[in-house]
Amino acid sequence: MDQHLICDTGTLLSLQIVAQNFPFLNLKRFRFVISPQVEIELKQFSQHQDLLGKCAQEILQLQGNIIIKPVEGIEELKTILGVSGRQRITEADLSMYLLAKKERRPLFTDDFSVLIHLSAFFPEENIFHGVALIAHLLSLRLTAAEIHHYIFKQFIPQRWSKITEQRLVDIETIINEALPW
Amino acid sequence: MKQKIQMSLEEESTKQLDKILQEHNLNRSQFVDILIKNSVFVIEHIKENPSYYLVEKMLTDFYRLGLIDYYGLVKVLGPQRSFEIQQLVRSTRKFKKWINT
Repeated sequence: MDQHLICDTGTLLSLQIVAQNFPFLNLKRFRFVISPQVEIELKQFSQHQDLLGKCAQEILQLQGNIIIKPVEGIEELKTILGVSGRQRITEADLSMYLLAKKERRPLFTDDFSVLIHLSAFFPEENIFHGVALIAHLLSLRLTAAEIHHYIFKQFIPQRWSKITEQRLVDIETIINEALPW
Repeated sequence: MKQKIQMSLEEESTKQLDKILQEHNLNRSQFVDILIKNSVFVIEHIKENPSYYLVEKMLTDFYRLGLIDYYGLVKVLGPQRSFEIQQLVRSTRKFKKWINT
């Protein structure tokens, strides 16, 4: 597996939460390539003293494992996608898509709107949900039943205090598809 | 972990089921596993609209396994939700290919 990962803010926070519970994930073996916009989001999160704030602080402390690369073309992409003024897809999201394209690597996002919208516009690009990556990494040591139990009993309540039933079902679909039967 | 379990099922029903499953390279274990997993998941995690999500989950898994096509999803779930499910399944399949390269 490629050790350079292009992950949005949400996926980085999710990975850090899982790594706290399962040290074998060892995030230091990865290089996370992020845009300056995502760095700003992480710094904003790190101002808070809750779990996500602490996770952001720990990610920022990975330093040598975080590579920040600027991107161009966000305004043009906004026009192509027709997302000007829409709050659901942010400049940080678009910057990460452009970064993934530039680096020729997949984009991992925790945002369903981003995943569905960008996948529809750019079907040839690899845009994956962060939960698929987490399920895969956990499957190296845990059984499918253990992964399901952890994700739904522990991870989701920590990561998303408010989550719709539709997104719960979507996460289950991703896990079922990602794990071998 | 998989476990062998003996069940008593109606012969005629299982014959019909086997015929359908064979056409899609599936086996009884996979089919029963889906029924159990979806039922348990919905009972355990879905509080507001369990009957809807039980149907949606079954259809999603039938779609993932090739038992119904995209239009089979659209007829029941509508175009917007079906499209979301299609994109999630497609993206995760691409992820699996990527992870194995």
